[in-house]
Amino acid sequence: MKKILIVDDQIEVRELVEVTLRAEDCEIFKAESGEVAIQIAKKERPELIILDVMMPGGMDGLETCKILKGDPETRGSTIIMLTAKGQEIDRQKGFEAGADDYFVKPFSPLELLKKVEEVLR
Amino acid sequence: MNEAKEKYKIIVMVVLLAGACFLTYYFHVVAGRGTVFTHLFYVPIILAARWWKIKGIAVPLFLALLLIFSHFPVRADVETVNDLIRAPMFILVGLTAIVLTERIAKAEQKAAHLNAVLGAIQNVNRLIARENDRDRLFEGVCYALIETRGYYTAWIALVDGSGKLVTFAEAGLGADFLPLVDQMKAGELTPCVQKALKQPDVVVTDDPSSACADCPLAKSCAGMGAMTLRLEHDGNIYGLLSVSIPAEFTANEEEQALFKELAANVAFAVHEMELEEERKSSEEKLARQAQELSHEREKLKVILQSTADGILVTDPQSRILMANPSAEHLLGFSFKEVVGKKLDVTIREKTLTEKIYKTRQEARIGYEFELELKDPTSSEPRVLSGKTACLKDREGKVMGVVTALSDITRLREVDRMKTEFLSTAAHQIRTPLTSIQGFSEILLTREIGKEETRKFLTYINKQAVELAAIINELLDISRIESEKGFKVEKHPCSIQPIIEENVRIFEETSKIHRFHIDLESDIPDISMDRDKISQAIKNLLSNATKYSPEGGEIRISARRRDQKTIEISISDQGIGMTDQQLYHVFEKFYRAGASDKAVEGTGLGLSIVKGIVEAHGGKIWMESRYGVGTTAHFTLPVNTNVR
Repeated sequence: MKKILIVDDQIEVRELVEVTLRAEDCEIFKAESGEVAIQIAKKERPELIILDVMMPGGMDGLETCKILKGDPETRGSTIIMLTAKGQEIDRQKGFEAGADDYFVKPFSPLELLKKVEEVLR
Repeated sequence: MNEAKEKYKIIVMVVLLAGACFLTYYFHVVAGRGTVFTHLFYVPIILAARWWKIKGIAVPLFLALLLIFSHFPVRADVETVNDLIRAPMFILVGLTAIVLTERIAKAEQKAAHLNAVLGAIQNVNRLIARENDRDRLFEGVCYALIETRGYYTAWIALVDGSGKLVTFAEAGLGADFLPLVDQMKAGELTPCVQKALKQPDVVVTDDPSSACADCPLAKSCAGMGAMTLRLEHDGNIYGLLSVSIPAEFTANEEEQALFKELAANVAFAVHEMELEEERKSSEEKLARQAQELSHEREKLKVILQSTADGILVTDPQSRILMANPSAEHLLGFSFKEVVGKKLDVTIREKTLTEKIYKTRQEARIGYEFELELKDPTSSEPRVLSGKTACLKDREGKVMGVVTALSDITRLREVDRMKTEFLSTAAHQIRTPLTSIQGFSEILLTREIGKEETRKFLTYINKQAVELAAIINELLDISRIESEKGFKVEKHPCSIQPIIEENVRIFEETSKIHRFHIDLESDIPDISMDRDKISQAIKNLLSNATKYSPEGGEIRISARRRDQKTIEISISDQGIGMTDQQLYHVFEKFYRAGASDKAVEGTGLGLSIVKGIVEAHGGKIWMESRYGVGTTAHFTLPVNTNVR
């Protein structure tokens, strides 16, 4: 079973993504901060990480992404940024940090699902 | 006196005649010594001529008759011829004496008159040298002319630029002169005036009463002669001078010569006066122009000095000619120290100097550019916008370059904040929209259980409410921005329940913070807009929790500051602010540390609180120490009308 890690400080968003991916045959992990996300990623080695950028207090998504992509243990995970920061410069920053894809909030669950299926195939 | 003198003269004459008669009788008749003593008769004859002139002929006539008639009865035989010849001799001598006396008197009179005229001329000359006022001069001249009795009357008329007689002065004429003035003003010129204006010689009028019956002066000058002459100097005719004198002197050459000299002097005085006036008016004009110029220059200077933009002027060799205080301030030099110095020595900033050089070389209108200058008082550089323009003279020669500099740091900062605000606002709106769009799409596209459907709808509803709150905040700030400001509806109410309600809400949502309420017991009711004050307290509590992510105590207190104000303070033990952050804290869109750490908010909360507090007539301020915590204070005036 494929493992997916959802990282977002807002519980509603975590739940929304989880519900979106419910149809998929996969195991879901959730984290409310970058620090927790790194711990889980190291332990579970998820195929996919869906990562928020703005998380108050501590590490933000870009930083988390850099660390994950810089660590040989977690480098293999595909990272999709899912953020309210929708400007071109933010998108660039996301890719620079090592993100594989970039989704802007608000998003369509159907589209996210398609993207996830693409990644997992 | 004269009568007494006359009586005395008659007595003397009678005595002399009686004495002469007696002596003649005695020697001629009694002593028989002939008429030798008749020689004594010449004494009364000459005296009579001196005294009575032509009337005095009576004395020689009387003596002649006396001699003849006394001769025959007394001595008809002796010296008849001698006696008879002696009688007409008496008459002859008497007549001669009379003629001589008359002549001498006339000569004396003439000499006295000429003397008087000379005296008048002297006075006039003195006056000309002394007097600067035109009208006073001419009146003085007229008066001086009659003062010495040189002339009976005198008047002057002066022409204006168009040749009309306009200015008049007189002496000795009084009211009689006025009709003549009126005539001359009206352009009706008497024959003597017309003639005098046309020719350079003295115009003599023998007796106005007979010669010019129409002249208004005819009556008052009856029996006198008059001389009229134009006032001329260097070919310019300035007017007329006219005097009246004893008629017998008018033909006299010396009189006329003196009168001409007098007129020449007066004309010269007029000429000098006109020159002086011209000089004065041109001097005044110059002085006025100079004053206007200096006034203009002063005005320009003041304008330049008080212009907010920096103005820098350089000459063709790129030396500094002028810099106003704003330029001194922006570029960080003192004009006095750099005046005349080369640009590149004074200004290190390459962009500026290059643009000035280029403007001069290309002699073009100029460049618009921006440059950043290091600001010693701040870590941020100062952003200046500059414009250069080439200064050219009328021939198109380059005189230098003028550069205008304005500080657009604030503008840039506001721009940056606005952009940041827009992206923050967009982000703020996106977050609730994510749940709304996402869950609604799930609900629409999937079969979801009843319980879960309810949960998702709750999320959607909650986020819609959040979205509405964000939009209200944005509207609030635009209301504060607009001219009208905040509208508050004030009613007296207690601050305590407002504080408690808000704290209760935060206690539920923020478990890591300990909330402490500290209210003085005697806080009176305050006239306020309850909802707005509640919003302010909510915003401040929200900041306190947001900026103390590690938790800690949040204390909210209210106390009486003085009779008129109460003070509400909210303090946290959070991350605090640096002095610079504190300085900007009330600026719209400003979020302390927004760039590095993600702290939720539009950056409008404090601006809204400030707007609310100020709309209530209160004040707001912040204290903060970096890493220690922040306290927000605000005051509200106690409405004394409310019990």
